[in-house]
Amino acid sequence: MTNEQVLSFNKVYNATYSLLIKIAFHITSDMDASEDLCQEAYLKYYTRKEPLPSVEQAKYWLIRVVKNLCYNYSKRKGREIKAYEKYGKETKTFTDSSDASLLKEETSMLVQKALDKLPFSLRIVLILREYGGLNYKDIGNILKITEGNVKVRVFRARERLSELLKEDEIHVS
Amino acid sequence: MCPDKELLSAYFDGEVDTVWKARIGKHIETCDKCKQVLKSFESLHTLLQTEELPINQEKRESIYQYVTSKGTPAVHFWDRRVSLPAPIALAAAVLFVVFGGFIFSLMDRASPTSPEGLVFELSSVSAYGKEWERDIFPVTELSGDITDTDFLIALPTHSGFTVQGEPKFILATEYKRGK
Repeated sequence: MTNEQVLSFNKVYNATYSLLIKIAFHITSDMDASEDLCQEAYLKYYTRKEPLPSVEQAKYWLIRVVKNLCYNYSKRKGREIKAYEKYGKETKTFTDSSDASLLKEETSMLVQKALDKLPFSLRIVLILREYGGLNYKDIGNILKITEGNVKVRVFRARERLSELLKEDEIHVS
Repeated sequence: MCPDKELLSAYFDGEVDTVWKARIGKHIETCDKCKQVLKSFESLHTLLQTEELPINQEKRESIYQYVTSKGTPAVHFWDRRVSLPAPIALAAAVLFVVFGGFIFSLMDRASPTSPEGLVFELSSVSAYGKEWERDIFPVTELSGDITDTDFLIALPTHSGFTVQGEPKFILATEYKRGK
């Protein structure tokens, strides 16, 4: 890569890193895995034949790649957890504390758990909307679906998530 | 009448065009039910943002270092530089010349060079079929004893045939002399 290309990669990296990590984490629920998957996505971008013309386009490209990598990872991981649970071993631990920060942590864990229960097609639009801050048009471009479809999915995801959170006694009203 | 929840969800995201935006905004001011729906979207949004995802700066830096050191831009194979040690390159060149010459000589031998075989085979179709040597004489060299009813098929004296057009069979009945 020329100096100019390295410079442009640096720009893309700074503009997208926390966003990609956030998206990856909310798909995989695993920080270590998210960092590894983001690294893989950046490597793919860096070794692309031609760097994309703008930071925005690079961002969409990277989100798409991370989404796919995370999806495959979750599928693989899901199979592993199922196999693990077959042997009657509990994989999750719950903490009980009245401390405010722990309560917050627990709430976000429950939210993440509820989010995990959503089908991927609904979960991904909500993640891109709520954590990625992307508009419907951009989400449509990334997922290759229409804006109308994004609108429907975002709404359904919200409804389902509210119901799931109610089951965990977190009321959204 | 209340707008449906799906439209309210889009309204909450600021994804409704300006005409609808104004109408829905006006409606919400007077409708508690819709206000409640919007409030639930707001709460959900707040809940999702509860989490403060800590970014590990060290890891961030190490990923950057890893990618920029490990990754080399992909190059088309025809743009790739190939380096060979000089003796191997020389040996490859010699081998190429020797093999090339050998194959060329084989091809040369396979192609027919003498016209005899061909002429001998075709002599049986000649109208002047006494001796095959006679058939290969050009028409102009023959004596003037060719009558109107005679016709002659004479093969050229050389074998450098070139193919022109598709081979055709013509029925004898179709042939009408002089027309």
